[in-house]
Amino acid sequence: MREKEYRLASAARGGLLFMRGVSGVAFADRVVIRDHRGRRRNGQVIRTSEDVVLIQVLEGTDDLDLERTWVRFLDEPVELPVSPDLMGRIFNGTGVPRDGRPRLISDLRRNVNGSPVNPAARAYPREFIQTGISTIDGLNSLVRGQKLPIFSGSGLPHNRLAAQIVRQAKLLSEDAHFAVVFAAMGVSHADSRFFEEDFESSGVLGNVVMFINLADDPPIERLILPRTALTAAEYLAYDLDMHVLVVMTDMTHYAEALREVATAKGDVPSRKGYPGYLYSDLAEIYERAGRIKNRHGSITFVPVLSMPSDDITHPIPDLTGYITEGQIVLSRELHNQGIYPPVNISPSLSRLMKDGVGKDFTREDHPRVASQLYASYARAQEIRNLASIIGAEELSEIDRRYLEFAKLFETRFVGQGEDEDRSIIETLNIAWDLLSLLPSELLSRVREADIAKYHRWEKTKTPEEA
Amino acid sequence: MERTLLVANTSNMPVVAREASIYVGVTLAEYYRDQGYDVVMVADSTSRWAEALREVAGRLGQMPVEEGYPAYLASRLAAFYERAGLVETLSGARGSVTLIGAVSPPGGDFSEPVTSHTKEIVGTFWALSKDLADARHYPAVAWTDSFSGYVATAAKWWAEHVSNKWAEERAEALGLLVQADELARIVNLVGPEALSPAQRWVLEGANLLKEGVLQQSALDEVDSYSSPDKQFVLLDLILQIYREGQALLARGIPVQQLMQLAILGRARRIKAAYASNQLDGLRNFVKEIHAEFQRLRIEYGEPEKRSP
Repeated sequence: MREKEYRLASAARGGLLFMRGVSGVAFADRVVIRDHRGRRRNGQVIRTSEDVVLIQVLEGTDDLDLERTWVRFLDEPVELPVSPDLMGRIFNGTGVPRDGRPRLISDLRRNVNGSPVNPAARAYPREFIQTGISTIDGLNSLVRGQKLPIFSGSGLPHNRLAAQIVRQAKLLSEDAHFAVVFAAMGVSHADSRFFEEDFESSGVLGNVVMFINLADDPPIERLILPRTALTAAEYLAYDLDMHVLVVMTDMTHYAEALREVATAKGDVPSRKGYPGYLYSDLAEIYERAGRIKNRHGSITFVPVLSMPSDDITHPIPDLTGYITEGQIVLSRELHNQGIYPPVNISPSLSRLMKDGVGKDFTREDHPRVASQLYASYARAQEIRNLASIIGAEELSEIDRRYLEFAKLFETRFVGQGEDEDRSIIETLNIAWDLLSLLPSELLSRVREADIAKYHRWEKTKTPEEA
Repeated sequence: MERTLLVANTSNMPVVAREASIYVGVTLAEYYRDQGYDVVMVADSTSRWAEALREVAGRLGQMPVEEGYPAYLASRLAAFYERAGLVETLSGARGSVTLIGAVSPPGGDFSEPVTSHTKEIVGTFWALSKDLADARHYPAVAWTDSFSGYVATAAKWWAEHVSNKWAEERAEALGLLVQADELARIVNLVGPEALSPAQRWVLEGANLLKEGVLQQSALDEVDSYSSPDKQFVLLDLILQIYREGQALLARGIPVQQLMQLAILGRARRIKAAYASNQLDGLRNFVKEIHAEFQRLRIEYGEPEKRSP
């Protein structure tokens, strides 16, 4: 170890310390800062040049007296000690316990930046995960190793949905080792408590590793937290052969912290003041999900992000959508109608669904039913728009059936209880109940055989008869 | 896979490598072109590449122009796309590079710089529509926004290999779709009752085209691939239904009667029933269509003859 300690930083600004005349330090090295009261803070070298070295102080640079601040360069990267004892623990962004229990002791330490995965070593995700939520299982299926973000807005129940996924997610085929890594960035005390209590009451807490940075904790720590959490996930998945579900909330707070530091560094701002490298930076995090050939474990990643003013074209959801394999979008309109989970199915998508559903995975009609529901619901939306202009009385018999279909689709298929764990077969049966409201001639996405087997048009009554 | 070269650059790899990968790809394509191969190079996605340009430009402190992209974006895009083409190699063989670039504009906004500059250079543009994608109409190629500068060239090929009616039927189908879009706007203002029976049949015909021909299911083993022959038979089949219906409407048969034909539902699904090598099944279905319309004609033909 070639540790060195310096005093007299030349400036402190927005979570950054500027040091002059420091040589022999490497990019991304770990730094420990001791302030005038002897308290320690953690930092990381984020820029090196001939004259200035920039240190990002994870706990912030508030009340640092430059005269009496000691900066120690540790000549090692930021690392997380890992061991099976991670399970059931709560840490902060740098891996320091915040549950009042002692630090983790282990001779195994991992660089939090992970190591890049050779694309050829990745295995293709195709095992269906049943979440018990119809809009996800039926229409936007999650597969093991996928990254499927939840796009939400302020005040929408994304936390409840994420907690429900954690409680209910299971594989249909086998009973495997299962773990959850939960990372919270900038969430409120109430939200953090909600998750802790939810995990505890459902009995999964022993399988959960939590990394928490609350809304009033230093924002810079949010930059390292997802990396620390994913390091733990990679250890559990690839060393201990576990199937890990990583839930990360809220990525928007992460991006805001990134913008804060980028501005302090003087980077050229790109869209909405976010730095141009936001895409690459998000990718570094998201791309750590997946499956690796010849390893049993997997990392399935469900990041939650709130779209500022519900704008899906905002840089954060926009760039996220390009890296992840689809998205689940929540709708304020459905939420206001009291529908839970308020999943807006139209913009929601799972790109890996096609490989994880159908005959050998769920049921043979699944992919076609999903497509048919989308098509019929889209048609029903058009008719709704029409009805709002010309009035429902002017509509034809068939069109009114579509309206009925849309209403029941939203209340019975999309809407479900927070504790309701629907099997995929139940979900598909509900789908056929709804499709049976429409005459079979209008169903172009399913096969004749599906109609013969599942469509019950003759048995259902027209609204007038009923 | 034996004929495929993959240049993979995942999003967590260094940004400069992302900028370079598109050039690596097209250079490989040119190498095989020079050996007399016909090469298709698919670049997915040029927007990510443009973003890499933007990121590097930002790091170099270059002045951002439109939406943060550097000023040389348009010329870089043009320089890339212009590497496509048909060449005579030094050995006298013919080789070609066809470039298919995916563009993914944020929020589906086609006016953003990467899309608009790309559209200025390319010969064919397949616009994927958000509305179609939301309805899971796959492939979501919007028929009105897309264009191809090579329709006449393609028509020659179709005439030679499939049918000389292709150009005509393509024009008819496109006309029908455009007409239906126009009518749909009227319906949104005043409701479907305001349309004449012939206009309502246009809407139905366009719907049949969308669902029976244009929409394909990538998840269905039969429907996911449609040979040119099958494509043409399907197109022809739907247009025949439309024309037959038009003729019957002219003879005073109510449009509701036509819309209720069970054969329309089957026409929507027939593409998934017969694979590309089972065209006879489709041709038999055409006969059924004619028989069905003939039945209607006889059913309604009698009273019409009696009337003065």
